[in-house]
Amino acid sequence: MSASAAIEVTNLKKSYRNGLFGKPFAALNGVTFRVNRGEIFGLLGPNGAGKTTLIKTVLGIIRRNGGDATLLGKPAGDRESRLRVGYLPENLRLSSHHTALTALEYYGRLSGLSASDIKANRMRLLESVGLNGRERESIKKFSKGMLQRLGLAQALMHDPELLILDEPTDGLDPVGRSHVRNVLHRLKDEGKTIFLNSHILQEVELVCDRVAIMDRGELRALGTVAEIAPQQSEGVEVNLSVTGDREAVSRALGDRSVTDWQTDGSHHRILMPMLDQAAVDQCVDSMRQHLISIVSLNPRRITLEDAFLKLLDPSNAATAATSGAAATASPVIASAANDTNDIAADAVEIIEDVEVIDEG
Amino acid sequence: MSKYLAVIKDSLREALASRVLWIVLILITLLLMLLAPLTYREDLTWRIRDDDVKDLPAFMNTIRDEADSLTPSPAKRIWSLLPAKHQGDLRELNITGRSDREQTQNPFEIMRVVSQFSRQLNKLLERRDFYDEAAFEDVQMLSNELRELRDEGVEELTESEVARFNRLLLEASFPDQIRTSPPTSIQLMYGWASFFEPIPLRGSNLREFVQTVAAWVMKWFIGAIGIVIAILVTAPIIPQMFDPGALHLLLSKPISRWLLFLSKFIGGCAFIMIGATYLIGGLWLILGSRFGVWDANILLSIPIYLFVFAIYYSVSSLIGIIWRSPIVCIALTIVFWLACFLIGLGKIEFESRIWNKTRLIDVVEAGDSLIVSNEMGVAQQWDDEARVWDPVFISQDQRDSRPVLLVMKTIPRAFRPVGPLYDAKHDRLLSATPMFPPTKMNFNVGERANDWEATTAITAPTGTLAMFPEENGDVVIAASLGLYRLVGDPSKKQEPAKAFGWTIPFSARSPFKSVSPEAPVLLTQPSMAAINPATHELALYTRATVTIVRKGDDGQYIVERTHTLDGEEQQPAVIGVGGSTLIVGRDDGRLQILDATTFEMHHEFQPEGPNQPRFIKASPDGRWFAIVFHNGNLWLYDAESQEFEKAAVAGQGDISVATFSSDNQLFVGDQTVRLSRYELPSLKLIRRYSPKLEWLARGYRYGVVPLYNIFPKPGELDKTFQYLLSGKETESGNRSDLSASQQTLDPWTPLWSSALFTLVMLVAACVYIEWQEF
Repeated sequence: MSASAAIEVTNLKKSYRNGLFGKPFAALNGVTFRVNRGEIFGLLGPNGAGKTTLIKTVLGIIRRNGGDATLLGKPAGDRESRLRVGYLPENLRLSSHHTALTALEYYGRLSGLSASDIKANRMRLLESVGLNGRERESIKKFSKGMLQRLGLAQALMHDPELLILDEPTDGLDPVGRSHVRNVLHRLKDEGKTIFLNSHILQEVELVCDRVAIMDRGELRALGTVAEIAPQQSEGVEVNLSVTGDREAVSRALGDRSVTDWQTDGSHHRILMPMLDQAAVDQCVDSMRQHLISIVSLNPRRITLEDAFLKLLDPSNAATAATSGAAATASPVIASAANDTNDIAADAVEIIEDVEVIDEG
Repeated sequence: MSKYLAVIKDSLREALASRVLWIVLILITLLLMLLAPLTYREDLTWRIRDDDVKDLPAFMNTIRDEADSLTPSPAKRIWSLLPAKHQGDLRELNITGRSDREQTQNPFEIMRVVSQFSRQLNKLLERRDFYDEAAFEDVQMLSNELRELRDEGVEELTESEVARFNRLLLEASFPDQIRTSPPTSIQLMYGWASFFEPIPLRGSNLREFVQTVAAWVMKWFIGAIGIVIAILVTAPIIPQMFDPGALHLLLSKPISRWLLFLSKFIGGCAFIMIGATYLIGGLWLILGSRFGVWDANILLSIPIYLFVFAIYYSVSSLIGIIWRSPIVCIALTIVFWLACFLIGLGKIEFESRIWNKTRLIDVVEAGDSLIVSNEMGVAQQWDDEARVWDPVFISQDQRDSRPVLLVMKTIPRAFRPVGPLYDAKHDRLLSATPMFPPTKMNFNVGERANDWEATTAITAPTGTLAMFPEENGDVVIAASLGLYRLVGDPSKKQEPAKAFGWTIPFSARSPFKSVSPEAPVLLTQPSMAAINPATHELALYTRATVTIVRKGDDGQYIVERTHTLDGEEQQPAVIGVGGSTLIVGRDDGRLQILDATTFEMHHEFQPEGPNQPRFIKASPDGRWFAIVFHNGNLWLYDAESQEFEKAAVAGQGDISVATFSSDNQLFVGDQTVRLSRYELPSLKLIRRYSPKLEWLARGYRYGVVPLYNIFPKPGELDKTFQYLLSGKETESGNRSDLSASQQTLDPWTPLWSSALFTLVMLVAACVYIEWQEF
């Protein structure tokens, strides 16, 4: 394993049992990935995918059943590495007797800071999360968004190398989200590594360098947003607006697949999937040959959400299985194997792992 | 470490932010404000309380009987000063004393007259003309205090001194009917108002009284109510920590889980400490400023209370981390509290009311029979075949009073039998047992030929204190009014003589002949009598004076010499005399070893600190003395070598009796019913009388005791507190009698057993939190 990884998990397994004699349930089923230092890494997945379990395992809050996990080069749960991590849990609850100042003092002390360090940092931090002026108020009066921002401040209190944020924008209004996004970008500029766990895909798309998608305890995809989204799209979707006789339009389209066709007099709006740019050119040529006037032609961009939904669609999972795991996993390899040979070697392991997932 | 201190600090901050804490603090403030005006005033003791007269109706009869007498006497003086109307009421009153149980008059009418008499008597005591020289001429004024007041002259005395003087006159005039009283009483005051009757207390006992009250407050007020409040207040602390949104953040920090838990636990304790310190500190200030008892040891109840709380909180915390619900915490902790309370109470009640009353406290060699008697005065003979102590010589009085004695925690002197004494001359056992209710004592005889079966025909001399064998085998009795020798047949009822079919009044001859010295030694409480087995002299202790008397040639006893002890007149003492040595055990735990002839002090020891000596026995040859202390330790004094040592025998700490056989061997009773016989001076074990355990004893030893040992004993930590205050391992229920049994405090057992239990709970919680996934 490389010492430069902020988080590295290999074939990580964790199962729970319902009650003493209940059947074990696999929350993590052989998950392998790494988070490089200095990047913003997003972990996506529906509720129950195993995202929080993964974070808790990496932080040593729960024990793994198999595989390996390191945090800042130390085994998961190591106290020294936790000293260098800032964590914002999902559904953060702070005791109501605190003010923003005392909460930062308390969690700062727990993170190993001296009283003077805390005093020196806390006002600046509260300002950076937009809580200046409210620092002496009881947090009983805080909104959920204010609490979330205070949680972020406590995670940053001890200037950690790695930030693990579990649903940081949960409960925030658009302004609040934008605020958090700005903080994250600033931290990235400062060279911090950020591990973001979220189910708000637009959020992840906007800030993350790389993304992993999890479902039912398994890793479905890993790569940059650009790599994951087109790979899931199998081409582009084109929105075509034309005028002309319906018969002529029909003839021009021939046996091409049409997703949607709306007619208003001689004006037609047609939504159709295209394999590639050549197919688009051929379609335009055919329209022109049938003297149909093209008003507009817009290829629709495939979002991370589309890719996400497609990945998690059970019917699509079957397709992926038949089309071969290597194709699904290729962006993962491309991303993971960036520069170094050892990362490439790891990537091979990942491919094997993904193959196992797909076979399963 | 600073991380964990931060957790504790956070708990304190949480406490200060809690509304509950402030409510509790306000309530404590109100309580302290309520108690602040409480104080006391020290008055001279003069008022006659109902329990100062042993049998009030009988005393009223005594007064009435003198109504028509022409000779001046104390009773006649009282009668003459009573208002005419009350004299009339008294004349018409038809009662002859509680013991006879013959009440033909309306009981409400009797009650009215009795209470009126009590009031009138107290009014008389305030009169300056109460003392009439002629009336009190024959009264023995033994009390120094009384003599001093008389010598000062009634006219010179203040009003309260007059009342005190009159009270002392009454005590001296009716020593067998009116109890002696300490010179001063404590009158509790609330601001300027007095309430309750004055509590007769020596000034030196005020501290002890305050300590007892403090231990009581500690047990019930703080220990019970305070603990329940503390459980309610702190129950949410641990479950709140397990709120996932809070817990995961805490667990992600670079801290140890079990230390985090312990810090939270300590934080909870700190929460309670604030309230406890405020309350107990406040009470301490009130006791100091209002009662003058500046006893810093009272503040020890803060850590003790905290410790009691920690026991429950350790249980609450373990429940909290398993179920993570404050409601479950409160419910199960209160169930646990009840279980501890019931188990502790059950064991203590069983021990004090039943088990401890079977402890051996005397050994009598009756020829070849070995007879012991226990705290209830039940004599038992050793049955070698069956290996049991077989009850013998039980009088009807003992059978009647048994249910009442079982209810009492400690048996008051008035209920204790005297004897049995083996009368070797007639091969019989003798005893004096109090009637029930205890107004008089019956004299019992048990012949060996009759299997020691007790027969009762006569009453014992008033206030029989002890019986001793004289050199020639006669029996002498030390009683409150003097010394008596048994001369007649005690198994026959005293019938008056008859002549020509007429009963001759006052002709019934008592089998007891007064053999008191010319000026009788009145043994008013606190009193004690012992015989020198070597010289057959008697040592009589009363009112801080030891009097040695010996039998003269005419059979009457003669006062040889007297010795006054240092200290107050009212102090109790226990004495033992043998050969030329007299040992006096004092109520502060000192043992004074004196020359029995010159009273020159040889040594003074305080071997068991403030623990008091209970029995001092001398060996027949006068060389050995066995001193049993209330804390169950036995010391031996060798008069020959003048060495004083803790005896190297089994059962130290649990010894209830030690005495000597006729051949100068040592009997030691321990383990409640076991008796061992040792050779002297080697202390080699010769014989052990260890009875088979009955079902009750087995149930106690193998059921109650193990269960009790497993459970913590938070309800008994008040005993530890009381021990820390007094330094005594026993609690005295009777301040005027050192030989009365005392309640064992056993101060350390609750401490270590509770500490061990708390430790187990905390370790279990630490292991759970370390291994459980959240």
